[in-house]
Amino acid sequence: MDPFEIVRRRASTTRRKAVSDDGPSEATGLQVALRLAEILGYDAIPRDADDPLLQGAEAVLDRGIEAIYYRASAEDAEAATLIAHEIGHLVLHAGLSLCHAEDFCGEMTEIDPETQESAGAIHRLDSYGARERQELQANVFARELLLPRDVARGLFLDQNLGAREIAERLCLPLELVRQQLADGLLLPIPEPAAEDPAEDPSKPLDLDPSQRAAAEHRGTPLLLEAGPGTGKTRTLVGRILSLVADGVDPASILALTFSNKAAQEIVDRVTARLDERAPSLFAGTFHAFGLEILRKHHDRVGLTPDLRVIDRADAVALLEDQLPGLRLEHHQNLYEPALDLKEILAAISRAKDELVDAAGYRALADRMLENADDDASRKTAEKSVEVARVYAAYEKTLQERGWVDFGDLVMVPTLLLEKEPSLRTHLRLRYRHILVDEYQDVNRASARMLKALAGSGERLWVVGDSRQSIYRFRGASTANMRLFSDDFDRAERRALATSYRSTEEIVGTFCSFARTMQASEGMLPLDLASHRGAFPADAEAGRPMLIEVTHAEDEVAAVAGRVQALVDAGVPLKDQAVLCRSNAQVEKFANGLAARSLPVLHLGSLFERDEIRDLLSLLSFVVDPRGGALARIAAMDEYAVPTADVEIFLAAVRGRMGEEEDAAEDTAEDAADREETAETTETKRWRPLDLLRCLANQPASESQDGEADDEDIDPGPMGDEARQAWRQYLLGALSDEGREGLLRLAEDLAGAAPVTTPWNLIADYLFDRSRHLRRRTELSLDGQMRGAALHQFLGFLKGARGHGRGFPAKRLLDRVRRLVLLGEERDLRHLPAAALHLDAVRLMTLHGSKGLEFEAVHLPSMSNGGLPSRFRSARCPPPHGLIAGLEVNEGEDPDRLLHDAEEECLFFVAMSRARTHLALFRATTAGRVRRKPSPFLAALRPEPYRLADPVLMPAGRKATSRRLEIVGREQLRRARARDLAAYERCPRQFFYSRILRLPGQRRDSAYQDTRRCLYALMRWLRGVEQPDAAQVATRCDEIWRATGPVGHAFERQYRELFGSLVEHLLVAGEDLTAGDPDEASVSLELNGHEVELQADWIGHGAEGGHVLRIARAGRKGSFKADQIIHGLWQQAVEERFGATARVEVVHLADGARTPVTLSRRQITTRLDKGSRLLADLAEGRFPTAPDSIKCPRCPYFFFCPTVPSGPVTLRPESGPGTGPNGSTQVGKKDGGEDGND
Amino acid sequence: MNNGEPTSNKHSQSGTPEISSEDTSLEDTSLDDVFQEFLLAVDTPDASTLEAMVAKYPEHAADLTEFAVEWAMQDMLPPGEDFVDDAAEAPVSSAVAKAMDRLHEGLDAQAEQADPFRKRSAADLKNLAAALGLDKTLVAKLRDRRIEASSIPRRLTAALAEQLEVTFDAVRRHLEGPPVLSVGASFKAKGKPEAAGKESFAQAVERAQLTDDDKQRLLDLSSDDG
Repeated sequence: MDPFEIVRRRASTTRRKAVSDDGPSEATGLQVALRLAEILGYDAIPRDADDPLLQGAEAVLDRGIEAIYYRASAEDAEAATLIAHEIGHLVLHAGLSLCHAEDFCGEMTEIDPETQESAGAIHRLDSYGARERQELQANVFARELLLPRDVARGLFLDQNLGAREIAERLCLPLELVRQQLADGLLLPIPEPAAEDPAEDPSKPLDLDPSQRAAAEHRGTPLLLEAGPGTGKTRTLVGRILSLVADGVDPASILALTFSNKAAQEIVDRVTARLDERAPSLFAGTFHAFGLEILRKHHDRVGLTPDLRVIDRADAVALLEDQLPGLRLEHHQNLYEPALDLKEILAAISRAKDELVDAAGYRALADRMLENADDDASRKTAEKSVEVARVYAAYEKTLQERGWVDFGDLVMVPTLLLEKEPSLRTHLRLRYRHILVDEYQDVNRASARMLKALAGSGERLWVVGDSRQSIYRFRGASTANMRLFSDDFDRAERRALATSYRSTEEIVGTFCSFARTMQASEGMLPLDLASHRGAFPADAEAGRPMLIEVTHAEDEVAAVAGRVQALVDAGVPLKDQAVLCRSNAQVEKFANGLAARSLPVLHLGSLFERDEIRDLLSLLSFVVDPRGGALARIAAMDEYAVPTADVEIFLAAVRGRMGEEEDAAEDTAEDAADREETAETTETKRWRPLDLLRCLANQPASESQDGEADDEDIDPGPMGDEARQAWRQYLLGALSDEGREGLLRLAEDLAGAAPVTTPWNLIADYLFDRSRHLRRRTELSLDGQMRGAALHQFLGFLKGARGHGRGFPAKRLLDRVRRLVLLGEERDLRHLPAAALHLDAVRLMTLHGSKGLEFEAVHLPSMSNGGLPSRFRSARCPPPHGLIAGLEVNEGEDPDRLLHDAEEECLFFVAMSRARTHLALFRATTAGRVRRKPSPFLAALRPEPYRLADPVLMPAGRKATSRRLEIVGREQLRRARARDLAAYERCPRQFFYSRILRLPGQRRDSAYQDTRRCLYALMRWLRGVEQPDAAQVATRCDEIWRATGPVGHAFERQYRELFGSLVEHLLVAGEDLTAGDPDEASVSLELNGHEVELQADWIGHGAEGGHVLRIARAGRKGSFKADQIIHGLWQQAVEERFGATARVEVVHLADGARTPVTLSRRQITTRLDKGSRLLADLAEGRFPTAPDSIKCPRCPYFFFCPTVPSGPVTLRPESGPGTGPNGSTQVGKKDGGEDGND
Repeated sequence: MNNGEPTSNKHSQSGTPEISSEDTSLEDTSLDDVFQEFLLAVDTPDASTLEAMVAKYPEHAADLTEFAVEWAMQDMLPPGEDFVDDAAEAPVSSAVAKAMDRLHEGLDAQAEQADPFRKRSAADLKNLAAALGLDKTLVAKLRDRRIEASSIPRRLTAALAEQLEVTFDAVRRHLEGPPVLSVGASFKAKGKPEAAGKESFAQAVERAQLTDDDKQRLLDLSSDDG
């Protein structure tokens, strides 16, 4: 059971001594706390802050005299928590407690101590010295003591009180009430579960002979090889207990773990058996320990004690700001710089894992360059040199700001330890017994830190299983296991002998595979006995089985069939897990099982869930100057605002009343760009939230006094008279339904202002204003999953610390996009512990299954290319010599060797998660191609049992994409080429931007601003005839001042980039003899649809044929002109101008050109595809096209895929080619076609 | 880590595992004796020797560790510089120097006597408070040496000695010691624990949970003091 649940139980037992919760609770928090202290025989004594008894703390528990001292200046609500916290120590822990302000912070920054992994990287670092753990427990205890979750829930749901009302009535801190409401409303309160008798803390640990021998080993360094299910943690805890029994001081024991969870588990198990001496034990990750060293010895490495640790998303942002200064050649990605920077940072992080600094990296890269003897290896070496350059710049910036990244947490202290004997001596005296868990996942830097800490290692004890080494990307390598005897003389090895998890059949299967694994090299042979013995029933059912289907689509059906068969045989869903190689596969199986009505326990990507996007849209609505989020909010049940009213409201935000049309408005993006260039609006604009307030006759929000947001257009206050006029207009124009919905929204957002932090905004919305949670008392699994997702999201909001420009909510939204783009939001997919008992199939990646076990494991994709997966080389592979202990030939990617070994380990891990049932699945064909079985299957002995005629469970009816109701749909039969291209990229985005004309959420970076300048200039060029150089220069300056990243640290470099884009733009048509501008526009008839194509330049080449050029903002790179649109271009131009005509793509970033030269066959297929697209478009089909890179950059990311109810009226286009004249026609503007080069 | 156990209680840890130490006398060996034994055992402290010392004197584990760290650090410093370790707390920060002085001067460390408050239960302390007209805060402050010894009325010290059944000097010596700092050498502690301050008797009385009359009565005890 969730260890915090035990704490909560004890809190409610304690509470019942003083309070009966049968009737309505009227006692204030302070009354409850004081009454309880008295019942327990303690005096709660307020003390001045400087009273020596407080010793600077907030509260102290003095058992010696039975008193609790607490700061007298605390308000009643706070005093209640201080006293309750100390009562928690009294009830839960032995010994004296003295609690500083930071000890109470635990609950202020984390919504649920069990899901701290979710709160962002910074929280993952809290070290779990038992003391910190106890503080967290005391906080959880105090909350439950003062306001039990069920009481909070009752007050909220039955008595209809909000968080503020509860806080006021019971005199409790608002944050405490919110937290208890979050726990009580969103998470299931688990039933008391039967404890595992083997883990009864009151009983001594029962160790088997191999465990006992390992635990009691003394005198030499020990490497303990612990196969799956052999009781590794138990043995480790057993060793700690055995050391203490020998008189070892717990404070001299350091237990280093792979994860915080493992550290917590160790601490909990030790504490349960060690009474008051346990808190002095340090258990934590290498990173957490490194952070403590850095905090304590910060002055020796030029840092401050409150040093800041940045995560990958922060680091990318840091480098992004420096892009122009970095002058990247090989890793320049104009489309999305963050992506290449992420790869570079991965390479840097890898180097730090190997303790290679920037200079060392440079030396390795230079040597590669010297040794390079062909173009390919020279290019690889040059890339490494570039990474070294970024590494150096990155380090310099970190040092200037006093920041460290994750890799530094181990590398910096390790280098310091290796350099400074005094520090080494100091720590060796302090930590005389070192235990390391999961040694196979330790990277080289951590192994060197260990060597520095442990010296000759006579009291060093490490446990691991090289066959479960699956964290190659974190720099882990089994080399450390092999090198253990080199690192520590006199090292001994032992192995645990018995698996307590799996049946004999399963143990036999994975042991047979182990014999063939690379990771077994240098290890003791794996020959485990199964404690559980053979499968009880008939042998066949207990044998690991292979289930083959013919078609790839049937694999999910077969898994579902097997899951159901086991349910029928008495294995509940929650004891079954489907383990997948990739996150994408997890999604696929989650959807597939759900389509077959099998409940699945899977959150998926948090920020892509509906209930979370609703809340993100609210945040966006409050801070975004254009208010496009209203489209999603309007579709929420509680508001139900029709599309037509959304359009009226958003037009009003732009300052337009009634039928007034926006002049030459073509796309939302264009509109936004135009607003930002100097010639903008004389009409008064509204901030959406203010317009809403105006409608509801509420006073204007006070956003203006807060931090100024220079990025947003500040409409300034509207006069009273104007407000009334607008209000009257809106009241008249909106439908009854729409007006009611908007007024409800205004009420629900009454507490919101742009300066409000996202946490306060959403907590206020959920717990005080809206009916959102009052409607949600669903007990269905879906409802519970929604609750868990909301809970997770609240935790994220609470711990969020967006930075950069703009209002807090805008910073948060930017961070969300960045996290998704970089794939750094995966930690948030973990379910809260309380959700884990729900009866649903567990779904996770192989990596995510580490350390877990299930009654039944289903392992799909056992074909070659599934598992093992295909090797994909890193964008920045490590230079030769970087990875210690790895021999690599010239030209060989060191990662490839590690990849193959890791895939074996993943398979081994997956099989060994199973207790009783293991099924492997594979499809024998993919499309029409036969797929070979995974080579791993051949190594299994005995061969897995082949299940003949597997049961395929059919899927329920598929939901078809709704055809959207569009008035004026016939206009869609005529499309511009760029519309078609946009529709092809994502029909749903096309719908938002071109049909609904919904303003998207602005996403900014200095880079994007620079590009906006380019588009602004292109639009201007369309409207002027033959501008001279001086005019262009003046115009560029104007645009820059209005739109560019003015004031940015690297403004000069961005300005140069803009200059060079413009330069290429201006000369792109110069080599052509001028053509007829009217000919720049061509059209193509396709299957009854008409496509209009607009060239940016038209002229004649040296041979006299027509040349039409189209602009594109990126670099040439590996761009191929082979998209549908290029087929249409080539066809249209040949039809119009004959075979001598050419179409070329101009890459503005480098001035290069790519001719469009498709074969007849290629053209035909593109015309076919094009006409299919046109037909779908004309029919009003706008499905989504999810893409992990494009979606987080999309202006509609937070709103998608929702559409409000009611028909959309398609307004007539202002027409293509709005700019008429000149041989240089620059009509392209959205730049969305830019390749990702 | 001396995890916040007031030294008064620290010696009475329950559940200490059985140790095979030759020293099984009822009275624990005094800290100074232990330090001196350590100083005599090796030239510079190392983890193994420290480990052996701790195994022998588990009740002094935390102090021995701090002592060893400080000793090692001082050995490594050029002469004249003082080692300052955040984690080494006041009660032991000068322990090395003192122990070395004692060793060199051949002083008998027996002078240090047991803490008169040790092994007193909460009930004992409550009775003590009642007998002396004190409240819990005053008793706790006397126990933890949180009141400037010179400001404590002699009559109160004498009454304490009587109640605790020890000599006047034993109480006096206790009160003169450095304040007990309850937060241990926590590796985690971000802010340093507050300096080990003491307050005057008058201030402690002022802050006590007593009636004005009772406070006055306590302050009046000072009248005989010269």
